[in-house]
Amino acid sequence: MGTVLIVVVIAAAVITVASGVWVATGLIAAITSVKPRTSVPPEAERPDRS
Amino acid sequence: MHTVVSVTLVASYVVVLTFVAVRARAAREYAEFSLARRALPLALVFGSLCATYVGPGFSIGFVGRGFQSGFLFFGIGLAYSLQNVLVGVLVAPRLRALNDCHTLGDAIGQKYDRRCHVLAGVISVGLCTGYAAVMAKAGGVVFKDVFGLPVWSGVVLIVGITTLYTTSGGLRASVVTDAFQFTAFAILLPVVLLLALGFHLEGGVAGFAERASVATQDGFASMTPFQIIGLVTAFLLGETLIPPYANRALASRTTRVSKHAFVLGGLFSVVWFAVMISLGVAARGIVPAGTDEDHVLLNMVKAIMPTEGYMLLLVVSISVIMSSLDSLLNAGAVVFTQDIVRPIHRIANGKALDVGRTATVVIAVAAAVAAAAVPTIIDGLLVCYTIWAPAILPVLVLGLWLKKPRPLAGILSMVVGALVAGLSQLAVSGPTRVPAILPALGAAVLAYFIGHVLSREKGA
Repeated sequence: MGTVLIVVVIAAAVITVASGVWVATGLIAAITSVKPRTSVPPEAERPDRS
Repeated sequence: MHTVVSVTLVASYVVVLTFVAVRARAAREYAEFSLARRALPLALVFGSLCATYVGPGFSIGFVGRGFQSGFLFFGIGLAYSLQNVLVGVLVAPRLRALNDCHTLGDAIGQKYDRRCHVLAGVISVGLCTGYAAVMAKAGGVVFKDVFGLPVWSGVVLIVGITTLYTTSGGLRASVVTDAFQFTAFAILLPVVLLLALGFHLEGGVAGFAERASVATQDGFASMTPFQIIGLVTAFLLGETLIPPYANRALASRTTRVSKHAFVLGGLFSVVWFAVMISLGVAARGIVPAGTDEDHVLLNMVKAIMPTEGYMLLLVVSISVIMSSLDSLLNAGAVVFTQDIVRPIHRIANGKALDVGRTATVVIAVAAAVAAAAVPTIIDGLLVCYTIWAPAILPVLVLGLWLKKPRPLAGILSMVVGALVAGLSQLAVSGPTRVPAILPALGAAVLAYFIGHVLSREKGA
């Protein structure tokens, strides 16, 4: 009983750490893919496409 | 040497957090501030959602409850996990599919009328401020325990830093920094548990199982079945779609991302609760009996880790608190702008961004002041749960299901639900406080049907 409990608890700890690593990779992908903002010209300066 | 390493650790954390917050960039438009342009990917929504609900209650508080009542609170916490999964399957995708919807108040406004929209906004802002006050108080406790600073100075520090980046970057900054903070505590706290199990397990595996069994039996003996039912109800409904969660559902890239983030978030809470409760059980062999439940985790780490480890825990605790606090501040500000100001005054997006930023600061100040009135962390959260569920959930759920929801029913239900919950908290103290959610929910549903029938008869 005690062994099963410890195995379950250790498995939970490992899954928690793995979740942290997964989110870290997503975070790195998100912050490295941020593109610099392009400045938008005022409305009056935009070409008339009509 | 210890001091140098500790200071380096904390400084490195602050530098990386600042870098992440800067990369999130300042919001230039209201759509960025409120919903991050509805472009958030799964990993970020999941990480942010988990970081928001894993506040001090689900970390420091759960370790304390594990210490006192073993795996009893693991079972109670499963109600919360179930709620997240159900929201992911049934509600989050529908919410994400709504157009022109920034908040739950928007959804209620679409189903009922403007008065219901504003009332839902007032309740939501009040609750966000209440939850934020609990987070601020937890920050003060951590700073007091680690540095011996007065609680108020810790509150000012943690609220000040969080307000700074939330005001500037809005939801995207909140989500991105949440993901970083989630990474920190999701890796470090299980490591503390593994160290405790590996090197400080008095009596070995059998001793751990024995302590778990004794503590859980103590837990059941200390509560009546009615109290347990009240707690399960509070965990099942009390945080359902509170404003920060609704924001994340709405800001997901697609309905699929919204659904998967909530389902995975629910499943993650199961393993998280197991880790926190196990830390509390392991602490029974390390921390003296009678230790205050909010101090069990800090005292345990102080006992088993070197100074650097203690500093790491400070970092983790601050991450846990800030990630919840920033979400609440942003959600409260968006709700104030969208559900209170906009239904009354038509304002352009540029002005709405200014209102949102100002509201962030005002809610932060109110939370810092209200932190002085917060009891223990878990009790503070339960007070908020008890008000949120009766005040909002019947109106939201019935509004989505009924063909023609009546505004009078919505108003009556929200007012009666909030009042009964609030008065029950004031009138009833001690261990019977938690079940206040049950009569309040009943009163809210009853008031809804009375309002519905009255309106129908008037209309007939």
